[in-house]
Amino acid sequence: MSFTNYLANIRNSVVSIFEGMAVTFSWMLRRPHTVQYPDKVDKGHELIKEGFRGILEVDVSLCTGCLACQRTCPIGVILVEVSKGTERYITRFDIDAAKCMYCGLCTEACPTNAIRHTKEFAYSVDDIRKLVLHYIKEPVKPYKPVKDATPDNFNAGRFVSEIVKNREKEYVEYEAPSVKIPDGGQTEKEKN
Amino acid sequence: MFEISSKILDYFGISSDFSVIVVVLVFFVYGLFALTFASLFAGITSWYERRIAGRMQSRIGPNRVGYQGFWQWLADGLKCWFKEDIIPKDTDSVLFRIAPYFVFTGVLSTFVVIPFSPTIVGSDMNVGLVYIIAITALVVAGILMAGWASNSKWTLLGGIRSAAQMISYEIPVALSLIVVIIPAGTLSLQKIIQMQGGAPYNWFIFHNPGTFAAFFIYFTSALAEGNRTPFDLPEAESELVAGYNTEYSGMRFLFFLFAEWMNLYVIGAIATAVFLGGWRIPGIAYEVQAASLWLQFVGFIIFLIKALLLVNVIIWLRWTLPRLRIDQLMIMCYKYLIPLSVIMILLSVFFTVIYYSLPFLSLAVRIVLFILSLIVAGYFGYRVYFNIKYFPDKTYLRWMI
Repeated sequence: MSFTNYLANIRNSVVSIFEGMAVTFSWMLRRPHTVQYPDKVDKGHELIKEGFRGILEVDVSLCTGCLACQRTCPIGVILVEVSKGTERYITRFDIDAAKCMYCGLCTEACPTNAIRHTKEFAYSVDDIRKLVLHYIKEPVKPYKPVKDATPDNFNAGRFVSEIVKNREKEYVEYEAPSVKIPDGGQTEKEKN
Repeated sequence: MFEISSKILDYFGISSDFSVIVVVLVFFVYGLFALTFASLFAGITSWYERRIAGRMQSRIGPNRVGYQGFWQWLADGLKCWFKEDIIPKDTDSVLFRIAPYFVFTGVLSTFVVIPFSPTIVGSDMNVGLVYIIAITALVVAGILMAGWASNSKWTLLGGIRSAAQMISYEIPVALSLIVVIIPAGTLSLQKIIQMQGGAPYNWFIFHNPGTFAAFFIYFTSALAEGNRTPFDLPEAESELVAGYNTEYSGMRFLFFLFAEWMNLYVIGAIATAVFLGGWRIPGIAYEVQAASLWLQFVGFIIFLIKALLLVNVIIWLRWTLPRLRIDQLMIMCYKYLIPLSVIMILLSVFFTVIYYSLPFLSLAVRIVLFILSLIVAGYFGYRVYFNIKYFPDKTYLRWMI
């Protein structure tokens, strides 16, 4: 270690400590990122960003009774029952919020956007059975999609399904970059 | 303290036969005062440090117990008090039990010579600084004891590291204090304070370039001696579970922490007394201050403010710098701090001799150094302002507690 190196070490340590302390002090003069929930904010909903996957909610008036959500759900959270006969009725729409893992697959499968995530995140109860949410109190007629929909005669289903279709297209068109294995790049097992 | 007890004897007209009792009583009361002061300081600092840490990391910190979480330290103390005092089976039980008290006593004993005001001091020894350096060796013994007696490899490693570190860093601490002892000509803390003036440029830190650098050397090595970050290798959580106090619980564990936080005040107080003018008030002579009770109180407050500012800096450093590696720690001690402090001693000798023949140079150097440090402080303020102003996210710039 040369003498200039020695002096440079001293200089570097002094300067870096000086700068570092200026940074930490500037942070001390700022407001903390942490929000005091529930002291300062009642519900915290206004702080949550769009796209947050909270507890699932069903707009029964939009549900077509297609059972797409029930089929996509990987862990069987959703239970939909539709009565058979001349007039179809949705008689049951249950969501087990205790089981749900918030993957959001059901919301993507839904053609009319009837099932969707809310921003609700605080729902602790004293009995786990209370977390099975019954969305249908009395039988409801399924929703019939409108053809040639415009934003005025609201048809959420078509709009959402197009987005999903576009997404699927993107996934198909996307090609993974080919990884080149350099010569002799064998694993140790193969060598042996 | 002897003066105070003789005053009490005179005031109440007690015959000098009872002087021993009065002296013992006065010392007992002073000991209680020092113990209470140190414990309160340690407790409140434990809360304060966590608040500051929170703010520096953009968090809030403990704010549940009382106003802004102020009583958090009492809650923590109560919790530790009620906890089961676990002594592991294969420990050396006697050493395990007494080790925390060694550490605690080692730190608390320094309060004997740390002054609060011109007359309120446990004992104004003529070897005060040597006493401080000697008595803090008890802390090493306690920590090594705790590490050995716990019968665990983590505690033993922590204890050994701590012993190596503290013994090594006692050298730069002593050497950097010698830099001031040369112009002061005394080892007594009260005399050293007496020799400094009230105004900042009369402090020993600005006496000559040697003492100016010695202040920073002392501060760094005192941090290392007190096992504070960035030198808290004995308690490095990432390597050793918690260092020498891994196996401790309940009140014994708390005694280690008490010692650590009391040590913050000790570091700040010694630096204040030796380098920063202690309890001197600008523009008031020592004799006037020593005679008046109110001026002594003002001196006590001034001393406290300076010491607490330094404690703030220590806390602030802890949340700024990462922990050093063990070899870096030793390199820093033996290759940088010790040679530098020896050079500072030579500089200090040189300037002290020159000041005798050229008194006007003394004032010039003091004022130049004072203005220089003001410029550095101003530049520091600008850097803080720069960091706030040119940070891309402006959302969090408002104050909020």
